[in-house]
Amino acid sequence: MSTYTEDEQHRHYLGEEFLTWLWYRCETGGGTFEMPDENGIPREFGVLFDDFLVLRADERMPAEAGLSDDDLFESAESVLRRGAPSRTAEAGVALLRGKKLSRARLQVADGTRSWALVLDGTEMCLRSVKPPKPEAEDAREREKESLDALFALSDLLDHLYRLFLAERLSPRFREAVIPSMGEWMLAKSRLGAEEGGADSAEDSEEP
Amino acid sequence: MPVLKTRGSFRRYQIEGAPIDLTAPETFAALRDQSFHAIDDTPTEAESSGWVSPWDPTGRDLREEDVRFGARLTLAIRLDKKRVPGSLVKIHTLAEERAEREALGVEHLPKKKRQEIRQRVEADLLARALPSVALHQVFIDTLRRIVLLQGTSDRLATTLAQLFQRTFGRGLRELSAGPLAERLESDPERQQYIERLGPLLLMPPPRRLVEIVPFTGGAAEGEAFRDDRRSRAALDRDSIDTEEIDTEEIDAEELDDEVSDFEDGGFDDEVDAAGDDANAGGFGAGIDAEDAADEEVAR
Repeated sequence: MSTYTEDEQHRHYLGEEFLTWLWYRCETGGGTFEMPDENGIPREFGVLFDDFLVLRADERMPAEAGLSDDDLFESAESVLRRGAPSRTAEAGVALLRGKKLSRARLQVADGTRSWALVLDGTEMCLRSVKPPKPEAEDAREREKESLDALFALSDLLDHLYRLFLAERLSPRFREAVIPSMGEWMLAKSRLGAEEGGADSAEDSEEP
Repeated sequence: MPVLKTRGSFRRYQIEGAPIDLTAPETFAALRDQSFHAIDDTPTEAESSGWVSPWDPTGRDLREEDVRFGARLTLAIRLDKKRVPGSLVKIHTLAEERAEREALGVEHLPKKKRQEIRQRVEADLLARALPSVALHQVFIDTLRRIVLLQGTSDRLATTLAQLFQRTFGRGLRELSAGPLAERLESDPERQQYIERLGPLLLMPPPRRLVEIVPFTGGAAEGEAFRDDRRSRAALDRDSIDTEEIDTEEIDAEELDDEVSDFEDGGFDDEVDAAGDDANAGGFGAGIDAEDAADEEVAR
């Protein structure tokens, strides 16, 4: 587990907060977002949390909050796979235990194009990207289409991050968003318990 | 057909300095200068890296019309490595040493001689070895100064940074969460706030500590965003009480009770009280409360 001491300027925790916020936004807001196109006209795109989540404890947190490691974090990392792990009790409990989402498999859809990827919040890199298949016949046109699709995905993710930052840096974040996220976490853990828990889950302790 | 692949894992970088001018002839001359050269037949080189076009991975023919799409470039880094297994070097070295001893009629060879034999054997085997080949796509948007690198290893990232610097004379900054936030946020005041931003504690109240301050914001310092200072004041003050907290493991039933309390608004009064304390008399009073808490912690 990273101690964040190697390079503070990377602010890995901000990426994990973003991913956790995105999860919350998708579940409470339907997963649709708006982004202006090149002409400034807003268009909708969608984000769906898929079948893979990694929740990670920030080891600095207990010390900053005056708590011991044992007090809050019984496991450094929770890996949830298969089915719909974002809707399981395990996911809710991990959040209640102070973990944040560090990686998640997402489906992103914009018009007729869709991408699958694992977004790594800790490193803010894109893993296992599956872009839409190019439709052009000509090889060079296909190449251009693939290139455009990749940068379009990068733009969509940047836009989501920009939305997060706009909320994160506003006073409203403390007053409205954090309490609302707390209620979402509570509801999630309770809902999961009522449904009898997750399809599959495992905890792993990183060395 | 090109070997272009836009599947896989990608790291993102921002190009530092001025945008790259693709209309300048020296840009593509520099790319060709840093194109890949093969080490298949070179006995001394164990590694080679350089630019190739997706249309010609040999690196011999890097054409602008192949790699340029308007303001974007699609390139690839080719990395070749030759490796000779240590055990093979040892076997051949022992055989050479034995032949040398018999030729000279001596029982032992001097250390320097044995080193020479080993180096010669390594060079011979390296010359005969075939390299392993890796191709990593690199997509560059020169207008927006973004680079996408296919691959996430640190070593590859270092290779890209060095190659990019040699070719374009510009550095790359990885767009991890912090730098990306600074890139996307144009307001200088908010950029400063990002620099001071600390991690969030996003926990509902499984413990008394967080019952008092149920959800805590970033622990940024400074006066621009006073609500964070207020939360720190409350958090620091509450941390004094942590010794009294029963830290035994919470079971599901206990958690449920706490959840119910929270939903019933049982913590609201404490939260309000904490907030009121921190805010009594305005912002300055909150800071005083924080300082007092710090002193008490120190004692």
